[in-house]
This record gives sequence, C-alpha cells and structure tokens, in this order.
Amino acid sequence: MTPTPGRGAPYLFTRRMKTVTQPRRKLPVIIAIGDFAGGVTSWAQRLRRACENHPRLRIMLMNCSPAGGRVIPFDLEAPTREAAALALARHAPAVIVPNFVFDLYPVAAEQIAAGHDLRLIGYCRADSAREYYDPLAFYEPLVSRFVAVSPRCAERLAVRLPHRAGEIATLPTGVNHPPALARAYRRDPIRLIYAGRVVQHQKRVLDFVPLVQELLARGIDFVFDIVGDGRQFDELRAALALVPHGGRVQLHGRLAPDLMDRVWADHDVFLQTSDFEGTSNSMLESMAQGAVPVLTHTESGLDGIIEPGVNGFVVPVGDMAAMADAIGLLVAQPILLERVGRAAWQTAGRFSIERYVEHFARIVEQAWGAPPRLWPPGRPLEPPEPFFGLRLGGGPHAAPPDSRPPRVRRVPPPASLDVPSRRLLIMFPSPRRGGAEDYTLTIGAAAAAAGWPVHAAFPRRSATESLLADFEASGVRCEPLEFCDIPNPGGIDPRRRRFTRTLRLLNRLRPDCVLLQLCGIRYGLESLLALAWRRVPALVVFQLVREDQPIGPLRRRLYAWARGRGLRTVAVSEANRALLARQFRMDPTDILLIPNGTAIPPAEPPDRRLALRQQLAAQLDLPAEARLLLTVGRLDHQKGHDLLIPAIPHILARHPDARFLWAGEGPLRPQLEQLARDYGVADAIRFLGQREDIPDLLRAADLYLFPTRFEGQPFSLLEAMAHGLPAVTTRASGIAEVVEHMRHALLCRVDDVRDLREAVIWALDHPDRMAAMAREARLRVEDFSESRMIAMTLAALARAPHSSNSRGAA
Amino acid sequence: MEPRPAPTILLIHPGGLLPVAGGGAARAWALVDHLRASGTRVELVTTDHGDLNEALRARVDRLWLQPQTRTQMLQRTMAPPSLPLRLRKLVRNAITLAARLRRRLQPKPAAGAVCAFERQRNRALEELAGLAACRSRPLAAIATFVWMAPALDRMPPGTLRLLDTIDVQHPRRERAAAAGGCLDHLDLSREDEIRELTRADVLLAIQPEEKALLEQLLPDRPVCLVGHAVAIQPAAAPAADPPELLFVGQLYDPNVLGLRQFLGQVWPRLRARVPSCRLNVCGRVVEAFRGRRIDGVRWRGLVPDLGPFYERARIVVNPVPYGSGLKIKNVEALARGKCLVTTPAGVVGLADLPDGACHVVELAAMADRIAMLLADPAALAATEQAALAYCRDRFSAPVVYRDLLALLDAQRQPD
Repeated sequence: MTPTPGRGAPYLFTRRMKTVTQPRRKLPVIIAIGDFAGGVTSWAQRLRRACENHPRLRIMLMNCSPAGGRVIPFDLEAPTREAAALALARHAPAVIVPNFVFDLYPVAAEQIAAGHDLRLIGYCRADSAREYYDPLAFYEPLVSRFVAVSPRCAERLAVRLPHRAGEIATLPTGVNHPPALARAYRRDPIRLIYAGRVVQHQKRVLDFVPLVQELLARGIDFVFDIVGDGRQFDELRAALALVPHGGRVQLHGRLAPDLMDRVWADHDVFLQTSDFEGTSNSMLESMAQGAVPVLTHTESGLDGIIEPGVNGFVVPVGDMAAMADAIGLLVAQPILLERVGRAAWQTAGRFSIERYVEHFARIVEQAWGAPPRLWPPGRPLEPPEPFFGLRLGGGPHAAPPDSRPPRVRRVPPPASLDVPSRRLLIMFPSPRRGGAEDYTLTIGAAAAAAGWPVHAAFPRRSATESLLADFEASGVRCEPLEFCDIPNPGGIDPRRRRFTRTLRLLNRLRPDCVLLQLCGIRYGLESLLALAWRRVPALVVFQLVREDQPIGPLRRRLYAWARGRGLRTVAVSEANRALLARQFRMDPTDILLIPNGTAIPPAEPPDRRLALRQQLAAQLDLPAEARLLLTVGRLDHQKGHDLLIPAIPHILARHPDARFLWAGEGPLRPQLEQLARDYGVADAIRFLGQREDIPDLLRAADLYLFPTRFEGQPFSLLEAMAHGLPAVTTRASGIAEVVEHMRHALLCRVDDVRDLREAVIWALDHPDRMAAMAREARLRVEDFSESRMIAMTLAALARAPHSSNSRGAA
Repeated sequence: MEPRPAPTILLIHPGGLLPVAGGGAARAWALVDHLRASGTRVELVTTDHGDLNEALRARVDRLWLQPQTRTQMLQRTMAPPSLPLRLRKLVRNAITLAARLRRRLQPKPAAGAVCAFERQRNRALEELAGLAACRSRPLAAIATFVWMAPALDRMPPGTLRLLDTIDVQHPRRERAAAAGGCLDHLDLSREDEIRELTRADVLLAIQPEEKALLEQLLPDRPVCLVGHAVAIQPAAAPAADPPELLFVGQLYDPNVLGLRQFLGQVWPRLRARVPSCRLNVCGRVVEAFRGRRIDGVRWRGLVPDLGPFYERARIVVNPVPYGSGLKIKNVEALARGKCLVTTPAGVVGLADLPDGACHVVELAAMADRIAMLLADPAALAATEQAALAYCRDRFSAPVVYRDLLALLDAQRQPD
C-alpha cells in the first residue's frame, strides 16, 4: 500500500518526499513552546506522551525560550532564529505548530522557500486580537490549517479570514480523564487552587487579594494554593502579605505538569479570575480530577462546557464578592460541592486526551495533505511591529496590552473650570470601543487631571481591553460591571442581576455623582434605576437616539420616576434633544444639551501630510498617486459601509485612482468583504481593522466618507473636520447642525446610494472646492471643542446635589 | 462568427406575483413572457413566495429570492407541506396572527416619523437586486413601482435603468379623497416622486396620459409608453339564461368602494328589472365583504383561472369611483370580447376608445344600461366586436412592446 503523499506535486520527485512516503515513517510534529508555566506547556507534554505509540505522529517539543530551569524535557532547543532554522531544516519534512512563537513563521517561510517540506498549523489559543487573531491573520498565507480552542475563537478568526473559514477546526484541549473519580471533598477547610501564569494581563491574579479579603470577611474556612510563576508573582505575594490571612494562602511557584493531576485531586475548587481565555487548559484539567471550577465570565471557553450551578460557577469579571459567595455556597452545602465536582468530572470526559489525539491526528493529516504554502513574493515577512508572544533570540516580549503606552493623551482640566472635587463614577454598558466610549475616557481623564477621584465601570470584553488600559493610564480606576444589554455567548444577564450589581457597586464606591453614558434609549435601564433608587445624582448622556425605535409606556414612566430622583438627561445635539423629548414626552428645555466636541490639533504642514500619505500608500501597497478615501467607524449597519459599495464601481469608472480605506472592525466585515467581491471592487477597498493611528490616517487621507444612517453627534466626523480633511457625509440626526452643505462638507440623504455616489464624484472632481470647505470646517469645529464639552460636563456634574449615598455624606 | 449571447433583463418586482391576484402581477408576467419569447433572458428579483417559489422559477430564466422573513420561516418549519392542508392553513394563520399581534403590541414610532415612501421601500430587495445585477451583468434592469427605484442605484455601470411606474403616485391620494376613498398610505409628495423617478434612465408609462404627465414632471428624461399586452381570445358565447355578470378585483380601495356602491345602488334596481341575473365576484375583493349574503351575488374569491367565468359572463362590470394608470381587468375583459360596462373613472387609461367598444355610464344609469344590454343581444354583440377590434389595435404584444424592444436593442448596440 502506498501511503498518501503530500499533494504538493513538485515534491513527488524529490529525495525528501520519497523518504516521507516510505511506509511506517512517522511524521514529525514540532510544537514550539517556552519553558514556563502555562496551559500550553502542559498540553504539549500531555500530547507528546499520548502520542508515544501513535502510528503516524511523532511529537517533538521545541523550547524557544532562553535557557532556564528545565521542568519538562524538550526534544529540540531553538532559543534563536538561527537555531530554529537549523532545527526545522534538519527535521523537515514536518508539521510545525508555532503556537505563540510568532517569530517561527518567518523562519519557516524562509525554510519553505529554500525547498524544505513544511506545513504549519496556526493555533488560536485565546480570544485576543493582539495575541492571536492579528498574528494569525498576518501569517495566514503560510498556515495550512487553523485550530481554534473554542467556537468563539473559531468564529472570530473566521471573521478575520473569511476565505479560510473552512480550514479552521475547533478543538479545545485534551486532558487526562480518570475512568472513575476516587477522591474526597473537604470543606473544613475548603481547598482552593489556582494554577497557571501569575500575571495580571489576562489572568488578573491581583484579584485574588480582594477575593481573600472577601473570604475572610465571610468567615469561610479555606486554604488557597497558587501554583505557577509569572511577572506579577512578587507583586501578588507582597499584596497578599498585607492581608491577615494567617498562612491560608500559599504561593508555590511552578510545578512539573506531571505532578498536576495529583495536585488537582487534592483540591476542591479551582479558581480563575481571567478577563479573557480561549478554553482554559487548567479549568479542564482540574475538572477532570473533580475540582469544582469557579470562574469569571469570559466570552470564550465557557459556552457549551460550563453550566452554572451544575458543573461549576461563573461570576462577572472582577466581582470577587460574587466569587466569595459561590465558594461560601459550596462550603455551606457539602452535598452540592460533591455533586458539582462529579458533574465537572463527567463534563471533562468529553475532553479526554485520547479523543483529542484522534482529532489532532486528523488535522495534522489534513495539513500535510494540503499543498505547501509559500509566502507571497514582495510582501514583507516581518510585521510593522513585533507581535505579542515569545520572541526568538531572547528578546523581550512585545509589549503586552496592559503595559503598552496609553492611546489617549492626558486631558488637562479646562482653565476656566473652577469646580469642587467630586467622587465621580463613569458607567457605560458597551461591550466595545468606539467614539462614545472614548468620550467617557476623555471626561474621566479630564476629571482625574482636575484632581477628582474617578472610577469607570464597564463590561470587560476583549474589545474593551485597550479602554481599560487607557483609563488606568489616565488615572481612572476601573471596575468591571456586567450590565450589558447586548447578548454575549452566555446570553443577557437577567435584569435583576444587572440592577443588583449596580447597587453593589454604588454601595462600595459611594460616588458623589455618576456619568452614565448610554448608546441608545433602550440600554442600561437597570443601572439607571439603581442610581435613582440610591438617589445618586447622575447625568445620563444619550449618545444615540433612534426615531424608529420607540419606547413603551412602562419604560417611559420608569424614566420619569428616575428623573424625579436626581437623574438629569443629557443630549449631544439639538436633533438628539428633540428626539429624546419626543420619546420621553418631556419638555426639551429640561434636557441638558452638551454637544460632543473634539480636540483640535495644530495645523499640519502640507509636506508632513504628503509624507504621511506616501507612507500610508506604501504601507498599504497602493500606488503613490492613489486618492485615499477614508472611512472610520464600526463595520456595522449603522455606519452605512454597505451603501458605499454599490457606488464604488461608478466612482471608479470616473476616478480609477480612488481607493477606499475603512478603519474599524465589526460584525459586518465578512458580509462587506463578500459584497465588495460581488461588486468587483474588492481591490479598491482596504479593510484596515481596528487602528490606533486614526489621527495619522486623517492627516494622510484625501477625503473622508461617512455614509452613516443615524448618529447622535459623531465624534469621528468632528475629528476629521478638526484635521482639515474634506468630508462627504449624510444628514443623519445631528450632523446637519454642525455641517452646512457645500460650506463645510457635502451632505447627502440618508440611505441613498445615488446621492452618495454623486457627492463623492463631485468631491473628487472638485478638490479645490473641497479643500476650501475643509478650511471652513476646521473653523466651524472650534465651536465644538473638546474643552468646552469637558467644561460643561464637569460643571454639570459638580452642580449635582450631594448624594445621601456618597462617602462625603456618610 | 459566434452568435451573440442572449441579453439579460433583470426584473425587480416587490412581490405578490403568484397567484396572480392583481393587475401589477398580470402586467409583469405579460412582459416576462414576451421578453422571453423574443429571445431575451429574464431574471426576476422578488420576495419569497413560499410554496409558489418553484412555480415562479419555472417562468423565468433565473430567480433571485429575498430571504424569508422570520414569520415565513416559522410558517415553513411549523407547517410543512406534509401536514394536511387544513391543519397547515390553521397553523400558518395562527403564526400570522401572532406576528401581527406582536407588531401591534410593540411601541409605535411617532406619527410622521417614518414617511410613506420609507415604509414601502424594501431595502433587502434593493440589496438583492444589486447583487443579482453584479452577478448577471444585465443589459437592463426594470424596477416596478416608484418605491423600488432605489434598487436602480445599485446597478453596475453600463446597465440601462428602467422604471415601470405603473401609476404616477402623488396625485392618487387626493384623487381618492375626492371620490370618498382612502389611499392615505400613498402620501408621496410630487417632489419626492420626482426625486425617485430620476433614479431611472428611462421611465415606462402604462398609458398615454401618464406618459404626458411624466414628461411634464421630468422634461429631460425619456418616457416610453408600454401598455399592457394581452392575448386576444374571444370567449365562447354564454348561455342565454340565467344572465351572468362578472366583477373582478383585488383587495384595493377603489374596487371595494366601487363594488359596495354597485351593490347598494345598482344591483337592487337591476334585480328588480332582471330578477334572474347573477353576479360573480372574483378576486380578493371578496375579503372585504366576508359574511355578506346578497341575492344573486356569488363570492368566488381568488380563482385559479378566470376563463370559465369570462365565458359565462354576458357583461363585465367595473364600477370603480376613481383610479389612475390602467385597469388591467378592463383590458382583459375587452380582449376576451366581453361587453364592459364601467364608470368614467374605469376607462382612465383606455386612450382613443371608440364609441361602442364599451359602455361608460355613471353609477345612477348603470342598472338601466345593463338591463337594456341584457335585453338586446344585437347591441351586446356589436359591443363585443368593437371591443375585440380595439384591443387588437391597441393591446396586442407587438404593439405594446415595440418601443421597449427598440430601446433595449439600441442599448445592446450602442454604436
């Protein structure tokens, strides 16, 4: 019988290929990892052991970290790129799993180009753009098959790589699952454990400090073992030393993965405080040994595995009181502890390493059966910035998200602001970052700069990671608060829970005033009611109000009741105010109008703009003479990208040099990409994804297109105007209050492809007229300055009456 | 030399094509059949027609269906064809009712918040039309009704954009109000209609008066007259007794109002003079008269074939009090060689109608005229012959589509 060779035809005749096709020759699978604690390391070792007698696979672990303590044996050492290249060349033909060692991709690309027969499997191990989706999307041309460790990761990766969606397999980790559960549960003391990387980024290990405090406050008898190492090990130890836990908490450093099964079995509860995950390896390992998982709610990795109350417990990210409550429940009900532990063990049976090996072998065979993938000629092999991950050559990790420089500049308090300091809490229920969320950051940063103690409470999602970092860099303390109305994988939390969560937060922080930012009149009702219940003075800023989404009489009455208890409604534009007045049936003069504003940067010299333009064109592989038409906004229905696509063929027919740059991410991206292909304009559009250099893009572009369907007062348009970029937009909501048609920009009808098409063509036909409008627009936007917005908002907050709930009052 | 590929025409129709329950659908099918017969590929973009999708597919070269609504999907899942027909209908109706109830319970936007035109628009169908055009690269796209005009914006460059207006909409509301009717859902202003009409390269008018009106509204836009083509099929002579009358109409305000007035003012007098005469009422208009029992009136509802009813009818009546465009049912009656008795509003659109091709009388005189015709077979026969001659002259397919085909041919050969 002839074994199935790789489909790459040229290799059929090479010496190397002949060796591969010899019967019973095992296929090397090189797994790149680092020599440190973590789920990937223990997965790799377990996989190697499970495949020892596998007829086809030969698992080789490659250590890519510099020499250090050897807790597990490695087959290959590749601490540098040179060593990695040598190892790959020596062991080719092989399948490579680079994991988070993204430096291995360019090394592999060079080896493939040199004729070595290699296939790569791209593993997506966490629900994080910076850590997995971005690098995998960048190196996609090299990857033969993708593996995502959760359906959520697979889905998000598919959004990035729609043309490869069929090649993404979902495969959580595999664990040693004993056929019978022979263990005892204890509750005096209950034995808690965390094992994994001791880092604040992702794992949020410093949350263990308030957890221990909560457990002590409840009088729960416990011991807590923390196993692992990482950047925050010392910090955590120091913080825990300040808590009088009487030796209940022990930090153990790293243990060999082989020992862990015994360790799990000796503990009753596994704790995890992460804010994002793929599918946690430790969670499944501990469940396989009957430990009860008590976890924070992450978007990925719980769906389909954890059934709260049945085989584990899930609490909001950062809510250590809730986690302590769950542990208290287990202590109070020993039967529950054992029942949930056994259910956890049963669940983990679905993830046995034996099953995993079967699936893994199939994926390896698929990868091997696929043709070899060469790096596209002319495309740079190195990313503009190194990806976060383990670097070859002993270099440091690229800056992780929690330590990168803040995106937002610190906002100085307005000179005219003379208001007393108040304890301010900023709340918004949004699960993503956009203009409205950045508005809260601006206000928070300004208040903090003015010396106000400021907290910001918002849902923790991977999309709000960067916001959290920016808030903290601005001196605002962040509190996780799950009160999002938008469904997540776990569904929408019940209203009651959102209400009580807000109450609990208010009790803890006791703010003098609250700024509640809502992206629609249907959002955040429970928190709003909690504020009213506590009579906390609050400004409720409605960034977006839609005419076609009316509210019912009950909700209207609840809002009226809340207004009577210290809540002030704020609109961001006149149109917004009129709509709010109509929806809430209130007098428009009772609604405070604080128009949105933007910072006005100094005028950029033309040569600098030109240089930025050329740089951007080169970066995007566009001809230098291309005309760059920029759109910034989430890729969803509201922003109207789909209206632009049918107009593009007509625009290109007249201006073949036009190129459309779309900065932003969103749920509509796959559909938009498909639509662009259908209209034959995919080459003219560049999807830039989430960008942090929006100001540079605004300086580099020739025209700003904003075909939005409805808005409050869009920050992105104000920003474009402030940067002196000519704009074509719609008459949606408050836009016409800022922009006069043909004076500051071109306005077209909402949802009108023809109007949009004609406006863009006119704008491209008349660059001088558009430049003149842009100059006028820059002057106009001074009426909508950020400092004015901040001053008005802080003054309104400062004027709010003292709350009976606040610390000051107490 | 290779033969040139058949040109493709994309027809964008907002739905209700099958079963044929109104003039709009009949007009669309007449156009489709003729274009296909003349060697043109016709692709149809329309809404999901449920069980009738396959029938639709059989009548065009390619079918583009707008995805089903949630209610339709639910109906399809909960009431599959395997269920007995009665049960299926019951389940479907229950789902429709539940959906209506849900809509009713939802908070409503403030009055005037969403204008009539926006309510009539079907954005999903517009998007689908754009997609279909990108894939098929048609020679021309024909959108029917003014509210489908935005779909034409999504056509790729080079596609000729035609808008089959069927009616000029903005005067209809006032006209209805003046006649005691109500077409408030059509509150489209003159300016808005002009704006929408300009999305097309060429406008299709259904009758000469509207052609003139459109030319006046948009002097720079070519307007092509495309009436309604019918096959001239003289029906067999009906039995002498009992004399039968026929009214055909969809559920549409002028039909309901007209029939109500006919039954109130004309029918009792007519029955008094010709006690044996009967009236068959076909079409969805019967839904407005559910439960009403009137001597001599038979409510037939939606029928698969109007042929037998035309054959049995001695006279076809059309008592509409107001209207615009062209009454397709009039043209169909004339094409079958039937004596048509109608109101002055009923003959709107029948240009240069010769005396004797039909009987145009006010409602007050209608009973006498019908009774007179029933009593005078010679007069009846003369009217029938004149009707056929008029129809041959005006509504045969080669005459109706001559200008349109010339236009398409010119588009095909731009040189």
